Amino acid sequence: MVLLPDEGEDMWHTYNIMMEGDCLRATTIRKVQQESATGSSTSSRIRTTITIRVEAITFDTGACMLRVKGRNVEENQYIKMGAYHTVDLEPNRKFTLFKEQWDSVTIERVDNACDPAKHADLAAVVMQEGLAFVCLITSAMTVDRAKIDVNIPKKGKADDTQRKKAVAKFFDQVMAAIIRHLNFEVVKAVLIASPGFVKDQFFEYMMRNAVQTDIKLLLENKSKFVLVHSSSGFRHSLREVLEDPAVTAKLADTKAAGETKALQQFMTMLGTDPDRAYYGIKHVERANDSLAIETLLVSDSLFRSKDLDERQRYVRLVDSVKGNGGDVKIFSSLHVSGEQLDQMTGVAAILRFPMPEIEEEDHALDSDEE
Amino acid sequence: MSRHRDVRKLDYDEEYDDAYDEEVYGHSVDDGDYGVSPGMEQYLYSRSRDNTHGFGLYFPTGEDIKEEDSYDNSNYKPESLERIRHDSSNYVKPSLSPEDEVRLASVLDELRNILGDKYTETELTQTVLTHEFELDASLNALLNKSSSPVIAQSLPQREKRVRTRDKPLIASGVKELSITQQTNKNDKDNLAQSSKVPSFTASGARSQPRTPVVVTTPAKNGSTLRVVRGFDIQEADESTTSENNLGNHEQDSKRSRSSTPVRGWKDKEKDKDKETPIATKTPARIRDKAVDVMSEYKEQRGSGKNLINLVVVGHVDAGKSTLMGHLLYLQGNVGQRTMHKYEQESKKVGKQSFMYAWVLDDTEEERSRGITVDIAQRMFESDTKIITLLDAPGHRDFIPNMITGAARADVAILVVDASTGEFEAGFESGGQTREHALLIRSLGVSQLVVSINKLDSVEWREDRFKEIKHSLRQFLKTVGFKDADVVYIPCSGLTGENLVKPSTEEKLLSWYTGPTLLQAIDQLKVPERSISRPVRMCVSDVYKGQGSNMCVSGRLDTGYIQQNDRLLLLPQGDVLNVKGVQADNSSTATAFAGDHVTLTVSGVDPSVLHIGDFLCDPTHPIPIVSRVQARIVVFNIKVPLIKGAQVDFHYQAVTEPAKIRKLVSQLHKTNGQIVKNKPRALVKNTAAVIELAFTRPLCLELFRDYKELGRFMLRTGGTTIAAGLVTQILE
Repeated sequence: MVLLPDEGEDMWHTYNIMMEGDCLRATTIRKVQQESATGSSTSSRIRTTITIRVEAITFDTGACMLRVKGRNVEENQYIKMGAYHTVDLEPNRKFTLFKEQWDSVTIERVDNACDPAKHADLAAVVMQEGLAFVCLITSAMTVDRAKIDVNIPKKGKADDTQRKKAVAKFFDQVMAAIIRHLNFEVVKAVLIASPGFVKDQFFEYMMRNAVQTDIKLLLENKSKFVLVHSSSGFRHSLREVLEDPAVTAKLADTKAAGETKALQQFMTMLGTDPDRAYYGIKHVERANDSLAIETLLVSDSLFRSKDLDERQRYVRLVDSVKGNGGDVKIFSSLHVSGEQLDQMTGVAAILRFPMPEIEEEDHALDSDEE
Repeated sequence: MSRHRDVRKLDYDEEYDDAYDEEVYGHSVDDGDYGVSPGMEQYLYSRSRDNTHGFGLYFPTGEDIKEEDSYDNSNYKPESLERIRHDSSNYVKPSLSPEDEVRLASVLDELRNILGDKYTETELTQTVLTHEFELDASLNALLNKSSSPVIAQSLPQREKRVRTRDKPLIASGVKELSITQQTNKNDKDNLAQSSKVPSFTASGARSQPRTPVVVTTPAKNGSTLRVVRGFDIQEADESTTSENNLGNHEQDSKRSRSSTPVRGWKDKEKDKDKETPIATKTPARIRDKAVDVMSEYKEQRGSGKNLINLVVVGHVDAGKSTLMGHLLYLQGNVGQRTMHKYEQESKKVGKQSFMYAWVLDDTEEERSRGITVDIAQRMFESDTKIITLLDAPGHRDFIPNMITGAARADVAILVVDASTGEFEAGFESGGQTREHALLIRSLGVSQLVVSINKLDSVEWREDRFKEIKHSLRQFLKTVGFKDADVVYIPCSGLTGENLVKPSTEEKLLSWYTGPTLLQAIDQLKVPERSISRPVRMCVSDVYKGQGSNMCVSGRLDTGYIQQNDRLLLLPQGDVLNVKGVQADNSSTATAFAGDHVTLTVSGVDPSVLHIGDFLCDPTHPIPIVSRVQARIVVFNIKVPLIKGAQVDFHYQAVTEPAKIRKLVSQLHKTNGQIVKNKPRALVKNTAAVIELAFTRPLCLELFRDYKELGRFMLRTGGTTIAAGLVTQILE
């Protein structure tokens, strides 16, 4: 399959599609040493097309780069068979991926990635006094761009100039991070979330400063800023922000919002009717055997498993749920909600009807062990 | 240069002297083959050298810390359940009976305390086994074995030590020796030399958490240079016994003091004093002189008023700040003129009713919004007490701030708004009255004054008072307050009725004869203070003081602090000096447990000080952990707690994200028995044992060790989901 990634997010998709043992053909630059007739050697960098059998894949979230290491399987004039090479996949450069078997999950993933309608970039600044995260949210990824941590003295001193100074310094840093890391041409909205009044204070400060120092970038995009409430300035409160109805309306059907919603549903279900919400592969599979699954939540990190059997197990599960008319949501492990799902074994399910017997069975097993 | 030199009049003697000095000076630094650059061979880590290089050695929270704690009560008791966890050692011990195993381990620990990391576990184990678990015998054997090369100060021996974890220390230790050798040659240089050494150590100390301060003193006779690292040993040992007041553990505690490693200099001391290795290993003492803390405490505080920390909590707009502001004004803590100023200013912005609140809400933001955002702290005196007042914010967004305040308090005032509809709003599930009451109870506050405020707005109706009292009493009982520990006071913060003086309001007098608010505060009992325990202080604020020094403030949880003490800052691991102790804006000589103090500190980079750090006794450092087991009580939550849940962990002044790694077991709410192992989820109102993991290491104490410090709260999404106690440190 020939793929052309045109943005950082596609790299993430590629990372999820590619498996060890696949073959990859891409252009790359390789340093080649040539020995002339006289014995002097020259080394030159040559752009060439190479086909490798993938042995290791690493994904750099910061730069959205994919590094693929493997052995050459197709000899050419520069590179011998079996020589190791590491390909950096770059945006806007075609590559070809060969797989022995394309399963349904990967195919769907490719379809998803190719669908431009689902793209909506969003930036979020989660902050509390002295702490701020600047994150970029795309449909499949949440990437931290900056973390700002400043010590702000508490109130109660005779003069609060120190405190004011520290707050101003903190706001300046957040502002600088916004200007540096956000591309306003792509970003559709910037969420500023904080408990209390920090967000209002910051927004006021930023706009006042932008007027004073004439930062056009901010002034022109003033309408893109949305102030949202969050309970803390930690990264995981981003989930809370995305649950906010005001934000959900704005995000409409982006993947991030959908995931958050599904996870929230699962949590509420666990609270109200615990017999209809299960997590952990064993429990979920058992529920699936009785065709009980209404919504299946799976983290994509499970499909990256190196163990082929394990991967197949999850693929089978997904296929079977789909076959039974269930809804499958594959979470991106780069999102906050996906992170959370990963924490709870990576797979969870909301059932159509309560199945208390699952837990009882489990109980029986437990007592057997004892 | 030579152009400017008067060569003809040159005093050659002096000139040569200088040159000579310089040469010697140079020698002292890189004499011989001791490596100065970190790239030198002896500084490089080699896996093959010995197996004492556990990974844990590189964490400041070595096992020593914990062992030390357990030492106080379990030394020499082989059968006791010591937590023995050795740093990764791959040495296979000879097979022993379980009892012998324990004995071996305890002796080994003891040896390691005394000897440091110099010997490998294999060596130690063998020696101990040959001497049949006799500590003294094996100790002597080990020392005799090694003493000859030590005396010779042979180079290889040195190099070996350099590889242990006290790298920077030893580097300076090497220099001490050269000083000693040199003293005979050139007495004059001593001063320059000795001043050089500490600075060198200081730079090395950064990587070494428990680095003691080095003091080198040139001796008077000039032939023997006394090098004291840490502080004077004999004195310190005396102080250990006298001040630590550990009762029957005294003997043990003496030994356990040693466990903080100061290994670099040990063999040198051993030369002089082979018989009493115990005396040689006193590490950085907190101070030089012994202080009889109990008598000091009695002298300073016994006759005077007791100090009590009081937090004021309640729903937003219940009138906490106004009530307290007015109380402060009536007690004369706020000047007439200041009050007048507030009155005028608040009138100007049309918020005259906030004039008393402005006493406590002093930032611009708080005044313009009319809401308390952060804890305000004031001191005032009543007839029998000095009261540290902590005014907490009521708004739900600022509960993290409120928790930091409540964690510092002994007693609390719960303010409720009596006006129609307001009490109900604050008391129903969305209000903070319940949450605050729950929080303070979970944070260890057991005595409560309920101030039923704004009664003037309902014309001091008795039935309203009774109605509120009734519903509160039922609720507070379920939270865990005893009826006897709760007092209900009708009052009005704005008019000042029944705050300090008994009310003159006839409508109130007709049915109320009880105490005023101040009298009620006066009657609160002062909790026991752990003065004789090692110092623990959580930093709740850091700011720049006058001059170049930094100030840290917070509540001294246990122990006492004096000027010129040396304290260890964790988790960073820097040692800092206390330049001054301030309480309530006036300097005092000593601060005792329970005091809110501001310390002026030096010897530490301002950027390493953070809110939430701990200051502690260098000899008894607080454990640094990244994973703990805790017993929690889950509150009334909508979404059940499951494995992997991300929560905000509130502990003292720290708020950190944490993950629930495991749900270990669900407990019975009242009798604490295990109901279910590995529950799938924790629903509301359950008790459980869980495992928590933090994103970065934190300083925590076990609840059973420090009652003041073992409690924490878990919150998520703006609601408090659980309160808990730290029961076990896992990592």
